[in-house]
Amino acid sequence: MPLDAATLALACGATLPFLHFVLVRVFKSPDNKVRLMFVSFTLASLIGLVAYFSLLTFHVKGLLTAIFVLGFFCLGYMEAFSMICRGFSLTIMVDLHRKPDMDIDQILEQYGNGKGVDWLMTKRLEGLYSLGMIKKNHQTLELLTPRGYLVGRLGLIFKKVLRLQEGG
Amino acid sequence: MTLLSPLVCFLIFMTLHIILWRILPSAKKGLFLKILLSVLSTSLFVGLSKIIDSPINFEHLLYTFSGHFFLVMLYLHLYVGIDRSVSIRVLGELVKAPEKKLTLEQLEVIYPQKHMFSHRIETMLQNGWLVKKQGFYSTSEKAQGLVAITLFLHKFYGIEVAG
Repeated sequence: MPLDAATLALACGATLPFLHFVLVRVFKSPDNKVRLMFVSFTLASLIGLVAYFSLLTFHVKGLLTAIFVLGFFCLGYMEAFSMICRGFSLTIMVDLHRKPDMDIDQILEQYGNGKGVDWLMTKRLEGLYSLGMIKKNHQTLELLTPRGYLVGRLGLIFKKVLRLQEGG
Repeated sequence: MTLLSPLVCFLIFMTLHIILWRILPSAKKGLFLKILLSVLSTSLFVGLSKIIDSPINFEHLLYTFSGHFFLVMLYLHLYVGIDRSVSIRVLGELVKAPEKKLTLEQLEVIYPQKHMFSHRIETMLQNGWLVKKQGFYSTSEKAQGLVAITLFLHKFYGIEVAG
């Protein structure tokens, strides 16, 4: 029944931060925190699936409700973790807390605990290189694959339909 | 057919969202309004179900609303990603550029790094997270708790450099 399934999924969702924390502590590599987050999603889903089929009788709406509730938790957790790891505004706030009274140029220089804005841009561009969407030829950026073109084009269409500003 | 009810509820949300976003000025297109719309669309769904005499019971509503809010959350990821992402903005600028190429200098002219910061700082000032005195910025009292939680979570997850 959907109510039991939703309760079960809530319980599994609540284990996500714990699972992620344990995995991060066990595998202490600084670069795999996001990967470990997805591992914790998989583990929570498996626990939920086993518990569902052991404790509850199969019901299509029940199973779908559990998937939706757990999916909601995973997406919420993903957003929160992304904010903590990569949040632009949050990082500016932390920088200003560490070093108050900065003007805008100093904020740019001190971004990310002194790494600076160039580091931020390089990090974002490297993300795009590693996804194979763009390449850097000397000092020129170039769209590399139809996937990169598609993502860029869809972003522009989305902004046009919703009349959003240029963003970024 | 009743299995599709979360999708119907989500489509009500999307219709309202697109109409309002085309009418409203940028300053009013906030997260709070999106949450309000997602809740409003559940009420409209219940109203619509009564009009067309579709079965409504607690378990069906639970199924519908959990699916609806899952889809809304998925959509918000897409929305925030496209609206705020530096990477998506860079890809968009490359799509618009002749021959789909840009030098780093050209990118800086179209998308100045200072702009990335200034509009975020402006939003944080408006929302009371930062204070500005004679051109210098600091965190406000309101921001202290959030910063403390963030620093704790950085320690908790072993994040050395964020951003």
